[in-house]
Amino acid sequence: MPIVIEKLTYTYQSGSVNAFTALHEIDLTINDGEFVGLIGHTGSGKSTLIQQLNGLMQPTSGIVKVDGYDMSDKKQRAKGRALVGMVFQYPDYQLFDETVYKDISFGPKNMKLDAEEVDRRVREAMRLVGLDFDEFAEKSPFELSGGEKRRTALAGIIAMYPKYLVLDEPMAGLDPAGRRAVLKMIDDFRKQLGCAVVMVSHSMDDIAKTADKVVVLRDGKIYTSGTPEEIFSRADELYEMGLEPPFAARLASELKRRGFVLPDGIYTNAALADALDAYKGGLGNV
Amino acid sequence: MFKDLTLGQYFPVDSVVHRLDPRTKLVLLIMYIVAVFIVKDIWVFGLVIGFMLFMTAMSKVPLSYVLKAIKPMRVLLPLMFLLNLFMINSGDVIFSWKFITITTGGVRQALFIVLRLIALVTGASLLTLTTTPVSLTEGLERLLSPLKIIKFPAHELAMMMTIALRFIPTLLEEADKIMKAQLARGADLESGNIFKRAKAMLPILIPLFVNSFRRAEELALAMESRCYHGGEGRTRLKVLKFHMRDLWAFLIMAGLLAAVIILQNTLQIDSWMVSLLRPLWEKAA
Amino acid sequence: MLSVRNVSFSYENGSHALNDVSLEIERGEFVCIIGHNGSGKSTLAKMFNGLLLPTSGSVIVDGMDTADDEKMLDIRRLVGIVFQNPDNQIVTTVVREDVAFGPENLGVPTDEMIVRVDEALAAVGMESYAESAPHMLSGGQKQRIAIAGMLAMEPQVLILDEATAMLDPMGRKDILRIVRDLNKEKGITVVMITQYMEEAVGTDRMIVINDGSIAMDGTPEAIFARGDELRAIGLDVPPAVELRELLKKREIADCGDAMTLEELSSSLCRSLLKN
Repeated sequence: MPIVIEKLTYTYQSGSVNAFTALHEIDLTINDGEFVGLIGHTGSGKSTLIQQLNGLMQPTSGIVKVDGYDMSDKKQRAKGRALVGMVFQYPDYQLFDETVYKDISFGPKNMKLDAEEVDRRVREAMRLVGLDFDEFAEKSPFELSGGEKRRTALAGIIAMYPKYLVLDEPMAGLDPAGRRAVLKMIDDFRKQLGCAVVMVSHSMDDIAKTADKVVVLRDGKIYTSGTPEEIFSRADELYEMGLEPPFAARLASELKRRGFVLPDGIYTNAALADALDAYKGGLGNV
Repeated sequence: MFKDLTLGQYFPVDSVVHRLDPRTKLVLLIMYIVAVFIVKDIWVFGLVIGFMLFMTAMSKVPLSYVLKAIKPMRVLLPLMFLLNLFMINSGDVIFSWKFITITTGGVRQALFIVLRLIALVTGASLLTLTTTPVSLTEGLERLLSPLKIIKFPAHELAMMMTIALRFIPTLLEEADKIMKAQLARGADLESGNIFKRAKAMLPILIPLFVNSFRRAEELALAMESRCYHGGEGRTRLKVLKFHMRDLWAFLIMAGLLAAVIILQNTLQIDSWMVSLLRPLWEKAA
Repeated sequence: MLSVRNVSFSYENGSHALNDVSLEIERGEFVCIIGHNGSGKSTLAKMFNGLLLPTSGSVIVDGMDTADDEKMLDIRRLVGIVFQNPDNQIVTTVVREDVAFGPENLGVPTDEMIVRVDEALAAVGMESYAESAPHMLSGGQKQRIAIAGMLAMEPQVLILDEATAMLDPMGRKDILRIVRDLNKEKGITVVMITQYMEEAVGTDRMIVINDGSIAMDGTPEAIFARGDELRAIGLDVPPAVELRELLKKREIADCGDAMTLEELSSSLCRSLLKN
């Protein structure tokens, strides 16, 4: 069963003079096992939208249903929320316990799992995020490096075995190696746990590598959505909006403008190299 | 969510009261408090209330806003009134039934205590409604700076207040984010007894504290980098200047104080009214 | 302008952050220092204005030793630094007053201060926010205010210590454009510490730090030609360079040292475009 959002509108301080509508009649479905990339610049409503997915905020009007549980209803919300794991941008908002082990077990314990199951999950989660159990389990989360903190925060959510994993800028502030590692990790959970992933990122290069579906938000509305090929073939438009489309997509569109004959839907360097190879080989003239 | 939070209760309109120098307003408040406390005659108190209403009118802040300050005292005020009414026994007896005795002294005292509290709270609230926390801080620093001679840390105090004002919205926003992060991990903040709930707050309080300490450290580095080295040799972008209006405000306030002192020593309306009304309760008895 | 001589630094817990680093930065240069998390690049940044002092070796700023307490204020006036977290460097509750914070500390007379504050705000394009409350601004705007706060002290060197790391792409672009202009038009020496490879493109010189030592030092063109070495130390190349490498390896095209979209597309037009 998917997450279904219908005509979702959310207004901050609705009714007051400061009322501000952050989301406007959003329709969106997140299917089981799907990898959805959510892009849009600051203030486009991304953060508000993902907080609706696990009921941290409730719609002003419209419906959010997680596997059929209506997130506007207090009782159903608890059940729906248990299915949606949410990782916020900065691990510092989340880490609090004395040891990494205890911190990761916070979520599973809140789920009232028995001690054995909690232990099993904590170990599994640490393995998945690449934190060596013997080395890290008894460390204080506050002594860790930035990358390690992020892994711990991720593990804390993974250990709850969410059916939907929602990530807000999971790679912000990491160096290239860190970004690659986190991206690979997320893809790994998805395969091993079979969960759906919703990832918010400014970096479309990162989304281009992994997403099945891309949703572009603008001014609280869905500006467009579709496969990466469909979305990134409109690289120029996205760039105009102040977003950063994948480099290859922008270059492909620039080359076409200058006279190259290239197929549509190029958004990775490898694909662009292939296309240029083909063009060079004469296929471009066909 | 807390982004639009306004600190204190500043009411942003342009008025002569808003434009008064914060130092003037602070001194005025002190003089006003003195007036409230030295008034002994309930009718002369009318003058003080009148002054209050006059300042409110000049400030262009709706009276209802100023009176909002009384709301938190809606239990305390009637309680104080009744306590004084029944407990004080002085002057003529107006009413007596079993152990309950109401005297003219009791009525006087009860009215006084309530009026004083209202006058004090509304006066202070008018100050914060018409003065931004920043200029209040500035005013305080300047007013207290002569005390530097006796090593009173006026500058440091003001700096601390400024930083607190700067970071309260940031911390509130952060608390909100942390709370959401833990709610998303299934934290239960609402059920259980008070101890359980207090314990449930730890996952929110600890990150908030840890982050605040890191903030403090980084802020200290940033301030050092900008050559901060205490109040010594500092100049200011905004120099407070007294204007004619400040002089007028002082004169009006001084006039009020003088009027209060003179009127209550000459008129004594209070006892005159009591003797005028005496036949009423004597007849009732 | 900045001279780092055989500097080593270890933290109290014994971890070595810098290992015998020597480096000269000339007046007016635009230098980018790149390294992965924990490479020691931020430690180096804090050496330039004496927030950290070397365990051994010395840092000389315009002839003044950062270890000399007497010169501390002079050095910090000369070397402005903008940090990573936009929230943790704004001190007061009104933008204008925050920009004035540095000059106030330096005892600049009020009349001159007003001019400096207005000029600094104009230089970062934030004039219309002079009376705003900092917490209402976006991350990028806050960093612009932080830069203005430095400019108001009239520094000769501006250090950006991962100042773009917490910003969105738009905010990052704004900051880059502003420091580039400051370098070109006002001749301010800029040292930009970052982990975004793209930000090195367009600087005069790139210094790569790895494990507390200088691993590479040269023009971005020269350094990005060594992509494999960069990847080996946890770094990367900009996407244009990555594509360029791929095209060369597959013998599709040789695009020389193109580093940007424009350079690459021009080069491809020259070499591949038919008619």
